[in-house]
Amino acid sequence: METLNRQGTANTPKVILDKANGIFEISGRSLPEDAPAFYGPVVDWIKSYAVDSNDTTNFTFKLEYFNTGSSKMILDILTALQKVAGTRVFWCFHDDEEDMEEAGQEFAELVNIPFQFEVY
Amino acid sequence: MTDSIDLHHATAGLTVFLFHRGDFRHQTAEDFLAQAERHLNTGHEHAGVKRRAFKVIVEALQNVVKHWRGRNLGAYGYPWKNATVLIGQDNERYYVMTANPVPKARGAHLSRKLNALNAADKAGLKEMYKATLLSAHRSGHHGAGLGLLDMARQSGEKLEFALNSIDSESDLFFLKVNIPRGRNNPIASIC
Repeated sequence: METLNRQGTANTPKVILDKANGIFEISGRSLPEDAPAFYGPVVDWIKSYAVDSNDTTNFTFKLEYFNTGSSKMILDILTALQKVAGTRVFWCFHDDEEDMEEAGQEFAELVNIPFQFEVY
Repeated sequence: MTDSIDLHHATAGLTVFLFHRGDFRHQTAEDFLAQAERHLNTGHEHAGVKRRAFKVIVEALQNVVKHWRGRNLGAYGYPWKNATVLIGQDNERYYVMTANPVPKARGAHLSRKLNALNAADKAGLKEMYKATLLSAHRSGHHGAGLGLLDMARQSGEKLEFALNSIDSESDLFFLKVNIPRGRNNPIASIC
């Protein structure tokens, strides 16, 4: 399966979805004005991956900021991940970003996937 | 009443550090946001306050860009076609203010939405946010008022707003979001 690899910008996150190496991570700032356009390919990739996924999938979110447009798309991603057996979400946040921890907890309440919270 | 008069009253006694009025395309908003962030980073502001202010500015700008782009600007004479965004501060708070034209039906919807947000407490806003997020996810509709909800949560204070009639079809929507600077303010513990 082809790796999805996007470099981060000032307003969009770095995305790497690499089945072969077991790396699944979204990191940085997510403030795109058109979040569906940015995240559409990510959701599509996960849906394709769900058909023939690895035994375990550790999906990492390491976001500095995200806008509300992104929050809807993050929920779309998490919903797609619910169909990937053996998925665990690693929700990483800086120790002075309590709002990010709370945001992760809210997402965890909306989907049926184990979340692990980590401070970096 | 005009947006100028509203802004004149709303800015009395505070220091305005960013102001833009006119064209509000995507690049304008990005440049404005970069300047706002530089300003927030120049002082010794508490990290949590900076984050809240930045997030409110992001949502406010993206709301203005969305509404600016969607308008038939030819229907308005100066100054109504122009959106306005202003960011100021005093010792107690940061203030994010926007003014932009909206259709009257949209204005009525915003008024109902904002009154509901202002009537909710912290727990109520959290539940409203989760419900709205789920609804947006299920319907496939993007936005769905999440921006206003998030601004209300980041602020921790009532959202101030006004709708001033422009003509038979449009209102000028004025929004003021306060972000308390004190470390011990009531919302410091939630974000």
